[in-house]
This record gives sequence, structure tokens and C-alpha cells, in this order.
Amino acid sequence: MSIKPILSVGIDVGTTSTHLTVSRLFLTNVSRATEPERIVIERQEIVYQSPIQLTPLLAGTIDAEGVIAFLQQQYQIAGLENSDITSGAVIVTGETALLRNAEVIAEKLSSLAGQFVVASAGPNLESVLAGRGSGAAEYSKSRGKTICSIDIGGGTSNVAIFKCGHPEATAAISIGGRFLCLSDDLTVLRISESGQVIGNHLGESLALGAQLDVFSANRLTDYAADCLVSMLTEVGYVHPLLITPPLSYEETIDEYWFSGGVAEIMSTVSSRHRDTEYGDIGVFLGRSLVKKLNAKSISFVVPSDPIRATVIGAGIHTLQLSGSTIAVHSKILPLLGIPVIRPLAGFGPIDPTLSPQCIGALVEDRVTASLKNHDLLWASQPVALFLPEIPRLGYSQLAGWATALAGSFSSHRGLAPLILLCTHDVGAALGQFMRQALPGLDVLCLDGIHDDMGGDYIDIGLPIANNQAVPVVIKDLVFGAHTSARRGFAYPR
Amino acid sequence: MTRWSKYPQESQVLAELRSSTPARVGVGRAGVRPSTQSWLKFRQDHAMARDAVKSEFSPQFLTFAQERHYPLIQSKASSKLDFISFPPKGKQTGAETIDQLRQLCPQNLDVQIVVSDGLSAQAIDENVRDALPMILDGLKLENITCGIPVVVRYGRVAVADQIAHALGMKLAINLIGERPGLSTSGSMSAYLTYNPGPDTISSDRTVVSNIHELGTLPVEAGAYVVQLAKRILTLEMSGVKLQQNHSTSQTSNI
Repeated sequence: MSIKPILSVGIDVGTTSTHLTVSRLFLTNVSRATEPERIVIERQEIVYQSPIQLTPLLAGTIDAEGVIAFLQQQYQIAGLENSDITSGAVIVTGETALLRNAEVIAEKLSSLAGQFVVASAGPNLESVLAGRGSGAAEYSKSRGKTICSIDIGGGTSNVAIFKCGHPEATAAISIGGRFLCLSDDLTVLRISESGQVIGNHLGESLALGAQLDVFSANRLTDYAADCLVSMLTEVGYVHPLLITPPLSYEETIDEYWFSGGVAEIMSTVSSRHRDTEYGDIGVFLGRSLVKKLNAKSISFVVPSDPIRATVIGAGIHTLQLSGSTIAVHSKILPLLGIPVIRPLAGFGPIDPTLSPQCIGALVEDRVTASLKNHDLLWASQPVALFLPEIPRLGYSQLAGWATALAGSFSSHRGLAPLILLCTHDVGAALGQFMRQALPGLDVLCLDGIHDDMGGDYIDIGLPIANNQAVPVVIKDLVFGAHTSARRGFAYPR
Repeated sequence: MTRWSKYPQESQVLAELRSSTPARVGVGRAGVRPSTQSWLKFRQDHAMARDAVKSEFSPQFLTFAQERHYPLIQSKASSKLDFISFPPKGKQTGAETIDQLRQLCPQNLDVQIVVSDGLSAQAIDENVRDALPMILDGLKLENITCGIPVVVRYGRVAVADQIAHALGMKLAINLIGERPGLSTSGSMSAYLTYNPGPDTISSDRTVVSNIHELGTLPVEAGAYVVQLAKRILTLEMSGVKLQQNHSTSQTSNI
């Protein structure tokens, strides 16, 4: 049985560079003939990679029109129509000052990226995507190793730790290769906010038009490299440039993988790059990092094509397919931009010995608190609930648990459809119970959904493979009605 | 159970691999033989599989069926030994039994459910009390009419076709104990036959297998069987025909 492949695009608009990758995702059914279908993404093939272009800037922000013109031209070269693309991700990253118009850019780009758009400015998601795109996650899975993936771009560095392929911890710091833009004679052309912080810390007064010498350039990047490496090696390391909570992971790291533009410099013999080859301090930063890592006897890996890690991750690893035994009972799909809450996060597996009333009260409280936290009113917009691990419950236990959930929905006078997401294969059963408990209501209950990248919104597409599975993306940022609740680019949770 | 690994540095991989399957992977060895521990486990599982074949419906299951007034009948096999020695006997029940069922059961509805011990009554004991209520709830929700489930001792897959045919039902669903394997001896299947009758052959049946604690959960399988039943009744076909319809609609849909 062959299922038509999906074309997926990844677009990365960063502080320094802008580029796109188009991939083809091949789907297949991996279940045995007598079992319910299990549709998975079997393999991916990159069909087009754009050249890497400097992100056009205009009046201190990213030039949206310039970016779009470039990408549209790339679509033409690749011979693609916007309508060919099913899925995609637009990642707009980098330093906050340049990102004032990130939403506008991502919104404009969303028409290029098909039915589902992940538009991210969330460091958590980006960190994981970069680690998946660079191959660090796959390597960690196939070798059973714990890999720390560090993607260093122009504005930020995103860190994700994978153990056996599962993301365990993430963090991001606003240090990147472009904290200073320099001319060939080391004249300062631009200072980013983080460049200012670094300069202040070292007592260097950085000013536009000032000329640095190699010594002070090195001093600046040595300090930046020091911050980065400390963040990786010292548990709970705090620094004003961190844009997330500190990295908390105490187990041994087997390998460090570096990707992103700066990693490109780290991978080659330093002398191959001119000091200001990219018009910024990135080459110095790359060298400082290598020096620092060597001094600490930390060996590191730079995978091939490191600069494309994020965009490959964005294009390939954002789409999930649900399980096939699920409850999708109405013609309400696709559903786009539905807020996701995790009222029972940290709840652990449900204790089957608790009475349904007890579970009911607990669920009710958690849902109320979670909606309040997210400033959401279930009565005015549909909300998707991520459920915790559901243990292998029998009929009466699951009935009790489902009734409790249904009760919490009706007491909040939630807005249909009721959308439930879970990882374990109980979607069809849970959906049936919910329909029973809430007659006449549209219920959508999906299983096989993994919540390992976080994200605050979900898109659910039309069923594929004869209604057996639905494609899903969970994302950080959404455009339109709900954006006003999320200003700026703070850490998602 | 802790398992000895020859490659301690790879233990994370092995742990992942082992947790992904009930199959015997990464069990180690002693010289050219399996390690004592894994050999004993193998023999234990094999013994459990043999016991499951000989198992009878448990008192708990029989009480469950009795409380709900599900008729308990027997195939043409006279005993467990007879059933195992002469497999065709399990495919049918006697004419008198059929007459009795006609007296007892509603007829000419959409679905007839049959519960058979097959090759593991243990599987029925472990799964039916979760799967069957799920199926009955779901059919009701979908407005699909269903008769009284019939429990068959020493039954095989085809016995449900005979019963459903005799009662004039459109769809036969047989919940039956699977041939036990070394991973589990408590696995159940659901066979669905549209328009069942004496001419029914294996390719007319749609099957959902591997229903047990560690496979597809009985509650989930129950809900899935309802969705399948709905599709079968709508398309008026089951088995290979349904699958082919599936594949063609697939290519044309997308």
C-alpha cells in the first residue's frame, strides 16, 4: 500500500541568514496485516535547498518584503507552487531587536508553507528542531548516547540535550556570531543588545565607528565562549543573556554537537576563514569556542552542513501523524491554531485505584487552574487538552476517568469541538466514552501524539490514508485571533 | 529481570530496544547456549502457551456471561481433547443448538456477537470483560442494532458465521482466543464477517488481532471494532474486498 508523499518546507529567517529547504516525506503503514494501521513517516528526502542569503535588514528590523521576494524567487527556481506544499515551518529567530516585526514576517510567509504552519520564535522548539535537523537526535537514538546539541546562529545559541533520541532539557542564550558587525578593518558597524552586555561586562566601551584590535575582539569572544561553555557544563549556570531558565541536566553528556553558522567555522581549520569573512565577530567566536573547549578537554562534533540544521529540522521534524485508532467524528477538520493546555502535566500516570469522583475533582481543579494560567476562556474558544500518561486501564476504570474529564468540560461550558490529545493508544476508546458522556458534541480524540517539544498551539489537518490518521503540528506561535495574548518572544512556559 | 549484556557501554540502546518489543532481544548467552535465565523463561512461556490451549472459560467469565443472560452453547466437539484432535468440529454447532438459539435470541438485526474460547480461553477471560462492553456501548452510540452475544465453548472462527447466518444478522463479530505464542498466551482476535453464511471463506473476514494487555488494549480494540463495523455495514463488504476498497479509495483520495 503506498501513500502519497507529503512535501514539506522549512524556512529559517535568522539574524544573519535566510534560507529554505524543501523535503519530501514518505509515509508508510508499519503494522502487521491483521492489526490496526500505524502510519509513520518512513523516510525523508531533501528535494531542494536554497542558497544561504544574508537576511536583508531595513531600519533596524528585518526587511519583510526583501525576505519574501527572496523566498518567492527560490520557489520559482525549485519549480514549486505554493499549493504543492502540505506542511511547513517558518522559524524566525535571533535577537529580539531585529524581531520586532517577526509576527508580520511569519504571517506573510505562512502562505508559502502550506496547510500547516509552524511559526516559531520559541527557543525550546528551535533547540529541539536544530538537534533533530543536525542528526544529533538520531545519532543519540541509534547509539543510545546522551548528546548535547548546540546551535549557534547569528543572534542566539540554542541548546538541547537528547538521551536515546528523546529531548531531555533545553535552554537558549542570546549569544551568537553577530553580536558585533565589523568591517574588514575591525570597525564596529553595529552592536546588538547582547554585544552591549558583553562589552559592559568587560569594561570595553563599544561604540559605533570605533575600531577594535584583534586583541579586544578576542577578549570579547573569549568571554562569550566562556559564558556558552559554562552554560553547558555548570548545572544551574545563570547569566543575564540567558533567554530561558538555566539548563538543568545533571547526567553525563557523551558528546557535544555544534551546528549553526558559527559551527561552520569551528569545523574547519581556523586559518581558512578571514577574520571578518561574514562581516561580523562570528569567526572570532568560533575560534574562541574551539580554544575554550580544547582547554576544558571537551571534544566536540560538527555534523556536515551545520548551518542548515534548523531549517532541516523545521522542514522534516515538525509534522506528526496520529495513531489510526482514534476518534474523528465530524467534518470539522482542519482545525488550525487551537490553544493547547496541559492541565495534568506532572500528574504522572493516573492512579487506577482512585475513585472516579476523586479523579473528577482533581481534573476539574487542574483544568480550571490551567485555563486561568493561560488566560483562556473555554467558553469563548476551543481548547485542546493534552492528557498525561494513561495507564492500561480496563473498561470501568477508563469509563470513570473519561466521565470525570467530560464533567470538567461541561462545567466549564467548553466550546465544541472537544479536543483531547494523548500519547498512548487509547484515542478511540476515550473518544467513544466522551461522545457517550457528552451527547451531540463534536469530539476529537487523537492518540500517538508526542509532546516532547512543547508548543502552545496545535494544527490538525485533514485525515490521510483513508481516514486512518491525521497530520498534526504543535507549535509555539499562532497568527490571527489569539496572538494578542502573547506579546514578545518569551520562553513558552 | 536484569539481563546481562556483553556490551555494557551499549546498555542504553539495549534497554531501549528491549522496552520496544516483548520479543527476546538482548537476552545474552552462555557460550553457544542461551543463558540459564533466558532458557528457563523460554520454557516457562512455552508451558504457559500449552496450558492456555487447554484452558477452559474461567468461573469469573462464566459469571459475567450468566449475569447478562448470554447463552452458553457448545460446538460439535464433545470435549477439549475432541476439539483439539478434530479441529473441523469447532467450526459448527449442532442443529438443535441452532434451534434453541432461534428461540432465545433476537433475529434479523445488524450485528451478532459471538465469544469463543478458540485456542485460549484465558484470552477471553483476560479481555472480553473490557472489550465487549466497549463494543456494545459503541454500537448503541452508532445506532447499530445488536442481538444477544452468544458464548461458544470449543468454538472456532467459522462458528460465528453459522450462528449469525441462522439468526439472519448482517454482520458476525467473533471474539476469539488466539493461538498462544511465546510472548503472550492471552491474546484475543475479533473477526468480522459481512453477510456470513455457509459459503463464507477466510478472505471474507476482517480481523483485528493482538488484543491484549501489551498489544492493542481491549478497550481501544473494542472502540476500533465499532468503527470497523460501521464501515463494513456502510460499504456492505468485509475481508479482502474491504481492504481493496480501502487501497483504491486511498490512491484516489489524496
